Formats: sequence, C-alpha cells, structure tokens
Amino acid sequence: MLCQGAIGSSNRPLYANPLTLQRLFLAEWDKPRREFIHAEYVVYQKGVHRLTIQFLDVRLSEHMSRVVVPPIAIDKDKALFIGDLGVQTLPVVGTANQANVRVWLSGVVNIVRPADVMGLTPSLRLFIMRNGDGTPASGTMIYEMFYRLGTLQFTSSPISITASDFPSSSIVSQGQIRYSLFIIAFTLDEVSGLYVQGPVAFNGMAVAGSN
Amino acid sequence: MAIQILDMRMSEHISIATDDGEEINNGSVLFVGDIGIQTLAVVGTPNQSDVRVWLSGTVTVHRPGGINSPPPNVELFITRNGDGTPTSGTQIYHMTFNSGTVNVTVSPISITACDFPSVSIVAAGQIRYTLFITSASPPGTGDLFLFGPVAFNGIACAGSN
Repeated sequence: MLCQGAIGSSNRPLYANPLTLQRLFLAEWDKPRREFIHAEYVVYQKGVHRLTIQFLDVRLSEHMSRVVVPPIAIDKDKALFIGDLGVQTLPVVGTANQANVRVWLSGVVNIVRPADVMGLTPSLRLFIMRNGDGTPASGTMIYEMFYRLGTLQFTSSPISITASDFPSSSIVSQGQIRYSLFIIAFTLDEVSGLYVQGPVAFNGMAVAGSN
Repeated sequence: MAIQILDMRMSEHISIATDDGEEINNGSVLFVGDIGIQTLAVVGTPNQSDVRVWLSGTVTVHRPGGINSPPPNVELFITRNGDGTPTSGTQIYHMTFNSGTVNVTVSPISITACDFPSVSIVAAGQIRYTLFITSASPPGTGDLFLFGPVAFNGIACAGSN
C-alpha cells in the first residue's frame, strides 16, 4: 500500500512497471531490518545468543529438623559444619546458558542463648563455601554473615540466610556445584554461651538463561 | 532420571500486618499455613523415590510493652498429611522462637524446612503440609500476638542428572 501511494503521488516516469518499483522500494526500505535479522540469526547459530530460561535443580540439606536437647555449643576455635548440598548444572554444560547460571541459597539456623549466661556479647559468623571439601578453610567463600544478640539472654533466634551466586562458566562446566554452610563464634570469653538449637536447613535452587 | 520441577504452592494467611493481632497462647494452636504440593508427574516413574520438598515461610509476632512475665517460647511446627488439626499427620519440623529479655518487639520468624517424602507418600499425587503456631504462655497473658504477615510456601523437585 505504501508503494502504491508513492506511485500515485509521483508523476515521474522513472519506473514504468509498478512491480519493479515495489520491489526496489521494499528492498531499500527493508534492508536494515533484514540485515539485523540476519545478524541475529548468525549470532544465534554461533551459540552466542541466549537461550530461554531453564530450571536446573533444587537441593536440600536438613541438618536438624527440630529443636534438639541438649543444644550444640558453638565454639570460637572450631567451625561447625551445618549444611552441604550439590546443585546440578549438567543440562546447560556446553550450551549458551552455561555462562548464565544463577543459584539461590536459603536457610534458617536456630540459635539459643540460655538465661544463665553472663558472658560478653559474642558474635556469630555464618559463611558459605563453594566447592570446598567439607572443611571450613577449603573452597571459595561466597557469603559471610555476622549475627549478634548484644546483652540479650533467654533467646531462641532463627537466623535467616539468603545468598546468591553467579558461578562462572568454568565452575558450571563441572556439572555440579557444592555449597557448604559453617558457623563459628567470635568471643573474648572461653565459651561463647551460644548454641545451635535446631532446626537447621540449607537449600539451593539453580536457574539459567533469559528470554 | 533427569531433574524435574514438580510444583510450587503458596499459602498467605496474612499479607498485611494487622492492628491488634491474635493472641498466641497454650490454650489453642493456631492454624496459619496450609498447602498441597502435587507430585503426580513422577508417580510410577523412577523419580518417585527421589522427591524433595522445600518449605519456606515467615511469621511475624509481636510482644507488647509492660509485660513482666518470663518471655514465652513461640512454638512453630509443620505436619505432613494431617487433616488441618495439630495432632493429626506426621510432624516433620519443630522450631522455637524467643525474643528474650526485651519488650516491645515485632519479630519476623523465618522458617526453612526440608522433606524427603517416601515413595508411598509421593504415590498419593499430592502432599499436604500444614503450619501451626502456639506458645508456652497461658491464655489471657497478653504477651504474644500474631501480627502478620504470615506466608508459607513450598516447592517440589525430583531426580538427578
């Protein structure tokens, strides 16, 4: 229609055949879009184009499902190993989405501080290691959180953790990523007076890609 | 068998903080969350024995000022396949919360629970999870209130690559 309108508004006898005019006109008008589409197609063919969103895995680690008696003391010298999971990434290995993986880590650790503690104000340090061997010094630390109750006593405190990880393509290529959760006390006293009471759960979910 | 996402369900008991709240006491157990997670997609397949359920929620409670009684424990628990009453079903999670020696607090309590249901439970095609809250405080003490928000969600996944 656009072409016909162009003919109607022009008396120039340059293009005797309306079909030729239409073809030429469309060709010029459409060229950038066609080139763009072609470029997108080439990019897609090369595997650079992003794939659609893929759900990869959900993994759970439940260290304690309920309150335990007696609770477990949190020391200042030795980190407690309280969560461990392996999130699988195999479906994206070798695809464009390998470079676009995101992992959501979430958990709750319930801490108790009894009424008879007269110590100072100890801190708790929670940290997540990626691809460690189950010991607190191995792997890469991707999350660190401190928790402090101050002078409060007689508390039962569920500490909520939300962590995010965007693993690199080389980490994703192994097909599984291990995440381990540890807790340790920071205190000037001999004992922290803080205990893991339970429940303790540490979960992870992985998704890749974009639409 | 490859990893499958099965279902995500939500239960939002209170979305906006209430003005006065409901007293939490040992005279009753409040029913604050209820979801049915569907597992039908894996029934009869190898993944039926490899289902995992992630349950997550937040419950906000209020402890008013001027209360001199010892701080009561808030008790939260989750039952599986109950009938909506606190003593039915199987208790799979139990948590306590105590704000300690401090008054005038509003505390969001986070819950993260895991369940690895057996083949026979998965076979039913749906698993019901119910969240309850109670406290150690006698009725009428007025030392703990359910303020909201209250939400309780679950996601189920199965299999391995």
